[in-house]
Order: sequence, then C-alpha cells, then structure tokens
Amino acid sequence: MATQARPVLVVEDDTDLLGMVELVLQGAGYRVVTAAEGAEALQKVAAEMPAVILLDMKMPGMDGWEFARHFRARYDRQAPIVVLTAAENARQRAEEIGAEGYLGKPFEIDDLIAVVEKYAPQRGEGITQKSGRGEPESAAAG
Amino acid sequence: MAERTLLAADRLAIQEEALRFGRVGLCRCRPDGTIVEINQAAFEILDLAPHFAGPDQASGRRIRDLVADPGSCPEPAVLLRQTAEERATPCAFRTLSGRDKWVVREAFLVGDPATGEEQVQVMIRDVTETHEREAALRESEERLARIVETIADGILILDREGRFTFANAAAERILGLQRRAITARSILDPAWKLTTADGRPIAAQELPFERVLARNGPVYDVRFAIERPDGSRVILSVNGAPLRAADGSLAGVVLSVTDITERVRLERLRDEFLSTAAHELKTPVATIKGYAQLLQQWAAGGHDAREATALDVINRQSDRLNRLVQQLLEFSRLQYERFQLFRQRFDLGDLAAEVVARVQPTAPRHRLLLERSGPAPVMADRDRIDEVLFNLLDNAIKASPKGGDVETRVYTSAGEAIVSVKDYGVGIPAEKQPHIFERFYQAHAGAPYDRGGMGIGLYLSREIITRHGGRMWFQSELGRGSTFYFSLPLAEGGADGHAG
Repeated sequence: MATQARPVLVVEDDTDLLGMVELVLQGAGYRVVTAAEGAEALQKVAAEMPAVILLDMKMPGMDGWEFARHFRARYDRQAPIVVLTAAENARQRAEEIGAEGYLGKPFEIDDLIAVVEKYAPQRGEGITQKSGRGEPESAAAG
Repeated sequence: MAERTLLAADRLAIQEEALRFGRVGLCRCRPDGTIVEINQAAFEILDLAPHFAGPDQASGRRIRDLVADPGSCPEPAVLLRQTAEERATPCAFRTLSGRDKWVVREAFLVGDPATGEEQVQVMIRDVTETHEREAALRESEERLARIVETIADGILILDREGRFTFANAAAERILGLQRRAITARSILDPAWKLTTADGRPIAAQELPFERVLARNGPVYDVRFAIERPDGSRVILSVNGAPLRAADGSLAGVVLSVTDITERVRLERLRDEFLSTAAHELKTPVATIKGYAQLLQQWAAGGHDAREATALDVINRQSDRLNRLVQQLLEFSRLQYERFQLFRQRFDLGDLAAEVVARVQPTAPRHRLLLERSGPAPVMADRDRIDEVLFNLLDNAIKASPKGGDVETRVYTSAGEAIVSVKDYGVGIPAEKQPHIFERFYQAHAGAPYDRGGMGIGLYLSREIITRHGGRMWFQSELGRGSTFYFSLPLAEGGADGHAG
C-alpha cells in the first residue's frame, strides 16, 4: 500500500483496559493510537485523523462528552465515534453525544473487533466516509 | 354607670322581654340576695331539682347559697352595675350537684308589687351549650393555627384571581419573604422568576394554581423553581387543592410548598455516584475478561485442556460478575425512581433469537428451542428486554439442573407481543409462588441445586416489563417445571418508528 492506513484512536483512562484494547486491535491488524483523556486525544487527532475513535466517557481531565463536543465542532464527522462505556445504558450515552456506535463494558473481544471493522473496514487504507446520520446502532449484545 | 330601673308596673314588659329572650330564668330578690320569687326556668338552670321539691321551696334562701361556689355569684348590687359587655359575657358557676354551667345575667331594679319594697329582678340564661361549642371551635381553630404555623411545609392561600391572602411561617422562610411581601404579590408576578426545576422557562398553565383551577381538583408534587430576593434559587414541590365557599363555589386555592432543593441536589449526587460506581466496577471486569479472551486466542492449540477451561471460566465468571453489578445498579435506580427507558423499535422475536443463541453455548446440557409466529414489533428498551430474556432463560436453566429442553415462544395476541419461557425442571412449590416477584426472594434457597444469586432478578425483570406497560406472570407445578410469560404492547404499525 502506498498510503498508510488511518489508525484507530482509543481514548481510555484505565491503562490496563487501554492496553488490552490496543493488543486486541493490533492483533486484528490495526494501527492503534492511544490517549488517556480528551485533551490528549484532541492532540492526537490534530496530528493524524483516525479512522474511528473509541471513546471512554468518564475520564479525569477532559471527559468523553467534552471531547465529543470539541471534536464535532472542529472536525464534524471526519471520524466516527464509538462510545466505550460502563454506563447501564450505553445506547443512551451514545445518543447524548451523537456517536455513531457504542460498545458496553465489559465486551467480547470479537465484538470490539466487529465494531471497529464496521467503521474502519479497510485496515490498510483510509476509510470511506459513511453516510450514516449518527444514529446509534446496536454493536454488541450483552 | 346608670342603673337600669323599671317600675313594678313594668313587670309585664319584663315578662315580654323574657319571652323574647328565650328560656329565661327569673329570680327576684332583696338587695341582700334573699330570694323572693324564682321561676321554674331559673330553678332548672340552677339545677335545684335534687335539692328542693320546687321553686317555692327555694324562696327565702340567698342565691349564693344555691350554688356550689358562692364566689361566682355577685351581690345583686354588683349585677345592677354591670356594663353592657359584662352582661353579654358568659360567667361560669357550679351547681350544688357539681355541674359546671355557663350563664349570662342581667339585673333590673324593681319595686315589690305588694309592698313597693325595692327589689332586684335577675334574669339568667343558660348558655352552657353554645359556650362549650364556641370554646371547642376556638380550640380547634387555635390548634389548626398552631399546626399551620409549626409545620415545615409552607402553606399559602390564594383567592380566585391568584392573589396571596395567607402565608404561614414556613412559607416566609421557604420563599425568603415576609408575609406582607408575599401577600403583595400575585402568583404571576415576574419577581418570582419561575422556572422548571432544571432552570427552563415554565408556562403559567403548568403551575399548581392554574392546574387546580383547570381541573377543579387537587394536584400533587408539581415541581418548579423560584428565585428568592437574595438571589438564591429554591426548587419547590407543591401540592394544591381548591378551597370552596359554603355554597360549593370556588373561593380560592390552598398550596402546600416543600423546599426540595437539597433533596434534588442529593438525588443528583446519588445519580453521579451510581454512574461512577458502574464505571469503577465494570472497568476491571472488562479488563479481566478481555485479557482472558486474549490468552485464549494467543494460545489456541497451545494450551492444554485445563488451561483452556480455566480461561473459559474466568471469562464466564466475568460476565456473571458484570450482570450482578448491572442488576445492583438498576435495582438502586429503581429504588430511587431514577429509572429511564430508552425505547427503540425492534422485533421481539429477533431479540429472543439473539439471546437464545448467546445463552445456548453456556448450557451444554440444555436444548434451547425457539418458536416464533410472525413479526412481533415492539417499542421498547432493547437492552433492558435483553436482560429480562436472559434472566428468564438463566432461571429456566438453573431450575432444570438435570438438563433438558427450554422452550421459548414469541407470539402476538390482542395487541400484545408475548414471550413464554418454559422449562421442565423442578417447578416452584405452591406456597412460594405468591412471593416469586418479591425483592430479595429466592425460591430455591437451600435446595441442592441452589446456585445463589441476589434475589432481585425476577423483581427487576417484572419492574422493567411493568414500566413498559406490559405484564409478567407464570405457571408452575412442583416437579413438572415452570413457564414464565411477559407481554409488551405491540408497536404502532408503519415504517417511521425508528429509534427513539
């Protein structure tokens, strides 16, 4: 491939969980960029637009809600956001910030790969922008 | 004070007045109080029947000797000098038999018809009944006034035009205004700076006063916020009821006002705590589960069977721990009435198929069967219904420890989508059946196949279904198995019913 594929940005403050997600996605062939909170994530986005953003909501520093607001204001829908949340109603969280998808914690690693694949289908290429309208879709069961 | 003097010739006039006065006791006496003549009414008012054969026998006595407490009986001369106010004021005395009575008295100077001797005509009227009724009324009013002034809730009364006519002490405190300032305002005064509890503008017709008028009946727990003169905001919960005049027409509205600012703040804190707890508890579970799965993947083919089993158990127990955490959180939300449904349109049969497929691998000794008859579209919280289905399947599996079939059916009937989950397991003893949906109840506690649990699964499931406008019920026979059912209203037909 001539162009390098856009990475998956994972924003999560729990280092162990972040490491696990990184291992899973690397194992599936993705390049992974990580951030521990929203402000760091915005810097990573500024450096390189990811193919998809996996976003934890509750984080010290800039939380998921604020990150989503800043991201949309600056980049609109240049990358889909998948909410990664422990909230009892993950879908509600996703709708609150107009995220494209959600994944409730804990999750099956197959579901994690599936949701990333859905928004970044070509691991070696940049993604083609989806025509999706921001409606949360069921990405994982359980 | 001029004495009221009537001549003997005026006795007819006195009698006339006495008749007009009602049942009047007449007692003519000498200036020293010795009775010359006493009529039957006075004899009865003084309650003399147990002591004298008749009024005539009482003549010659002094009035003060015919009562138990002579001090209550002034000399005739004193009575003659009574002011108009004193004449109208009831006086207490005790009869010789010990009864307390209340009377009003008047006295006139008269001449004895036979001798022309100066005498005093005393008129007495028994007002005990009226006096006691009025005293009871005053006492009751006093008691109500004390209650109204003592309770922690603000009480406000408005006339039909929305002007405040009364405010108690608590209302002053809650509203941060003196009574005069309250009664100077109408309910619609912009100075109240009314908003909803979360600070959005509020329409007049949403306020308790307007709502009481509109429905001509009581309203409860209407919540809104006002601004006090010192700029602080108070969130109020208000009950209201119409006040009616004696003819039944609307006279105004009474409002009782509770300051719930602190309660709302605590509710928000609790919500925050619950969501923090969810995050803190689930993140480690997610991490453990993820690494267990990674290990399974990496070592595929490289692990021995024991290791594979161990990793599988870690994975499954992580799921179990997660479900318990989820149940606890939802249970807390239910207790605090902070339970929100997030409805979307989906087919109940599709969801059942998904859950059955997910549960089957965890129950190798059971055969999970699914029967669907036609589409069953519902407008419901998909994740919550998923939990209910999972819970019913999980219970069915636990209730049939020897394995066997678990049959799930999805069908529609009379505007409802219905799911039934049938097992051929141990069944529920009749005496336990009435308690099955109670909180913390464990039907199989102590049984050899008891696998623990918190006893909130079925309680939560039924709450979830009830809050969707559905029902949950069951049939069970000991030793033959159980069937649990739930219904949900079918979604309105039409294509435009996407996620809400």
